[in-house]
Amino acid sequence: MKKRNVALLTGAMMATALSVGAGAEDAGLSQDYAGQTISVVVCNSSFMEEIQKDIGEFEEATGINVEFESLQDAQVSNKVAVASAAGGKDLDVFGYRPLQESLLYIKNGWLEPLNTYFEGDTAFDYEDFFESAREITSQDGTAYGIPYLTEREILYLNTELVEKAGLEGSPKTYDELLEWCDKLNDPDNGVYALALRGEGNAAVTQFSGFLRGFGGDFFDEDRNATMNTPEAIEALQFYGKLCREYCAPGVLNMNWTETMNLFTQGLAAMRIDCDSQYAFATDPEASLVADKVGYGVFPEGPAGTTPFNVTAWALGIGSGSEHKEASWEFVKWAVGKDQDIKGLVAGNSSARTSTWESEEAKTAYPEQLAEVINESNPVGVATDRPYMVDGGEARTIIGELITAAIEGISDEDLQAKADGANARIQALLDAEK
Amino acid sequence: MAKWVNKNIKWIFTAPTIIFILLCVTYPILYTLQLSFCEWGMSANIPKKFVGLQNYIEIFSDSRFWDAFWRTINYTLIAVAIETILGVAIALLLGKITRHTGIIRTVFLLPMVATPVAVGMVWKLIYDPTIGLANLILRKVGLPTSAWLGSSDTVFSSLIIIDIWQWTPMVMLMVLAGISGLGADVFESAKVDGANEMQLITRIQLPLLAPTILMAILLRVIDALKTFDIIYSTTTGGPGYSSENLNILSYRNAFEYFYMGKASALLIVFFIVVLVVAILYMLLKARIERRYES
Repeated sequence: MKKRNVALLTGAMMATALSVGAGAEDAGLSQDYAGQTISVVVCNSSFMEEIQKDIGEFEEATGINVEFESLQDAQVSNKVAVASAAGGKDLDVFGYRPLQESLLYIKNGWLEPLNTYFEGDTAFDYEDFFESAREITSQDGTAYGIPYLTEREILYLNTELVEKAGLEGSPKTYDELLEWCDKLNDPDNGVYALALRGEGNAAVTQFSGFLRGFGGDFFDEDRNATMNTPEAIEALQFYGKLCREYCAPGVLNMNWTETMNLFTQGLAAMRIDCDSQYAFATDPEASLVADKVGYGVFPEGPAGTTPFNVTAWALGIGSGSEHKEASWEFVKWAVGKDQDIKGLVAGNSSARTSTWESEEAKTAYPEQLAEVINESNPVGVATDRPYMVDGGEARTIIGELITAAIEGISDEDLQAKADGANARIQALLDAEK
Repeated sequence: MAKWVNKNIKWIFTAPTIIFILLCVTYPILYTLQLSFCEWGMSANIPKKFVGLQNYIEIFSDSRFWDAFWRTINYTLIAVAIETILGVAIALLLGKITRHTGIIRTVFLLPMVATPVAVGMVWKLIYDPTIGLANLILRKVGLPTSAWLGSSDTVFSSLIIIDIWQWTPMVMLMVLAGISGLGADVFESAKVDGANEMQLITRIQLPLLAPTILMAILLRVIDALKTFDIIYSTTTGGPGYSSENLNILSYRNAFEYFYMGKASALLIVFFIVVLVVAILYMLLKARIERRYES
């Protein structure tokens, strides 16, 4: 009797071991690094929440222990910088913002080149990622990161308030946007027409859509700063007017979470920000307007429809990591095809073509949002901030201008401030040549 | 062995402290000083470059630095002055109360023991212009509302209010401890001599409490000069730069722009400011104490 039990138990254990082995093989995961511990630092998002939930599966399949840490974006960046400067031994996998940090991190030697890891790996299929996303995470043909989150600037609408105001669809041009704002703004009842980032530094990305819409940009092809051109001034004045006249008080301190709160509390009729945050608006547990969310393409300016369409986040491996192979196993799993689809279902705007073409994608996204994304993709601009090594400081300088514009300083003062800001950005650009 | 221990006992007992100070105070300061003469972006493959005084020249010619400098000083002066007056007044009042003192003191202690970042988050909600408690109260009593942290005109005073709320209890507590240390006999003999309540406070209690009050002020001044967490968690220095103090400015230079040299130079300047304030204060304190003693 006893012997039989032991035999049964052994059989069951072998079956379990075999089935685990089979699962690992499907995903192309290896047991070679079992017993190693890697640290993963990422920015909190719906995708990363999904990964955190499934991390046990990865640990079981590979035998690798994962110390997973999910922080706010600025904290991730701090942690990466401090750990990397100290040699980066205790930092294996981390999330970073390619548009803001790629150039600097590569220059500083903080990122491990990844080509040798994925070359020939057909299951991982690096070519499957959007070309623009691959470009922004590479330099001179070397890939330094694997993109996982893309986002576009779109319009969120509270359909109930829109209908009540007798409006239909979404505003198509800047003039229409102003008309809508006039009709929707109802501060006496605590409802504002628009929720828009007003905290200077944070506002730069959302401002970029308007800057391009008026025909301006942060700098031109020859790297001449262009933040004091008539187009840029016009865009600043327009953005300032929107924030000052149609947004809730305190707009100068608002980042995306604050504007999202106003929108989900039904206190803002429209909101302009990234599509990647839609899941917060439609979450019935957190949003009072979960079933009243509409979407629209970013309105067209005098120079065209110019929302950004960017790769916001990528996963990289630290060059100082002592467990690079184990780290790659994690990256391969986390942004592999299967996990990526799960992320999409959880609300992540993937950077993989196959994910968007999957059956799940057809039902995962709200239909109207999917249409807006498809319409935004071809016209989108690939950057939403000054793409340069000292992008951080340039962003602060531009943020300063946006703050001044929202505060409503006179046209002459704004021009003078813009001239000063432009010279400072030029100095940063020149230093990089 | 025992002889050796006996002979070197003064070194053996002080060694842990000396090692701690060397490792955790002296070394970081010297390292920061060295960095302040360099240009370094925290890079692993681009070494530090010696640039002499360039970082200091850049700082002193930048209006953003001078704004942050004066903001730091003003913030400290205003916040600590109000905290001292309020703290001493409340302590004098509480000194009179003999019942339920434990509960009352605990209630006053609460703001002080709360985590600063949590305090920041709570005040951010209180100050929210649309849904916050502060404007709700103003609306209820029919007063015009304010943008609080959301406008460069009001952000400075709004932050000072938080500081006062959080740190007045510390001044109060120190003074209260001082009061309980005073003997009753002085007051009784003064009363026998015909002193009234006001005279008791101004002529006897306050002079006797002067050393305690001055110590409380010194601790608060140093703390207020290096305020970081409350500002970082509520405004990160904004709107624009309107609530940026020297600490926030250094932080942004170091961890947002990765200008470690410039950030170090800023910290060295800041270090000197704190040092000068502390020395001036010590001199002043000695003078005041001598006056009351004589």
